[in-house]
Amino acid sequence: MPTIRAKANLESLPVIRDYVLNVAHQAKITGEVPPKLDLVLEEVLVNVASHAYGPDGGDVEVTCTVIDTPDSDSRIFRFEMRDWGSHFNPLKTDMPDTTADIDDRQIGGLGLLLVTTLADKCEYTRQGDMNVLTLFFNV
Amino acid sequence: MEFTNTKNGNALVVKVTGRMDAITAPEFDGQCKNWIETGDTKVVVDLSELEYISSAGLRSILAAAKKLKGAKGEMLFAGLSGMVEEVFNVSGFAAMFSIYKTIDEALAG
Repeated sequence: MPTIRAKANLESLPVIRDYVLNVAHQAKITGEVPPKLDLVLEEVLVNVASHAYGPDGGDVEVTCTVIDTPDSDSRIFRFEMRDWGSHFNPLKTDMPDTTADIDDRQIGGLGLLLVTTLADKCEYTRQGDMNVLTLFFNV
Repeated sequence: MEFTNTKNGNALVVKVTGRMDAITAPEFDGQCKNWIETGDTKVVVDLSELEYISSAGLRSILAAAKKLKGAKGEMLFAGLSGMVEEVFNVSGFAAMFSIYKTIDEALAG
C-alpha cells in the first residue's frame, strides 16, 4: 500500500497532490472524483499545517487506496491522512453560517464544510498520539 | 493565477485564470488593493477560466468584497461552472453574491 510522508506545510501541497491524483489516475478514475480529491486534499492539509503542530512543525502521511465493492460495479476511493499533532477532531468543529450576508459573514471556516459536503463519508479517530482522518469517495 | 483587466463603462471586468488555492490566493488580495487605489469599486469577476478554487480563495474573495462594499462598491461574478460553481453553492457564496451567467448580463444587471 503506497504512502507519502511529507512536512505538514503548504510547500508539501504539490507533491501530495501529485501522489493522490496519480493513485486516482492509475485506477482510471475520471469524472467528478479527481477534482473533489484535489480540493479536499488542500483543505485537510491546510488544516493540519495551520493547527496540528507548534512552531517546530511536524509530518503528515497520506495513504490512498481504491477499494472494490464486491456486491456492485462501484468502487470506493479511500483517503487517509495521519498526523502526530495535538488531538483535534475536524469533524466536530462548528460549521460557519452559510446564510449570513457579506457584512456578517465570518472570513474563514469554510474548508471543513467543503470537505464534509464533498466526501461521501468522513471518519476521525485518535490512535495513541496520532490523528487519523479518513475520507471516502464513491467512484 | 493570472488576471486580465478590462474597463467597461464604470465597471472593471477582471478575468481570473488558473488555480486559486492557498498558495496563490494572496495574489487576489493584492489585486483588490490595486482596484481600490485606482477607484475601481465596481468589479465584475469573470471566473469562466478559473480551473480551481478552495476555501483559501473564498476567503480572499470575501475579504475583497467586504473592502469594496466599504468603499461603496460591489463585486459581481460571471461564468461559473463545474467545481468552482459547486464550491460557490456549498459555501453559500452563490446566494450571498450576485452571480450572472455571462459578463454581458453582469454588466447589464
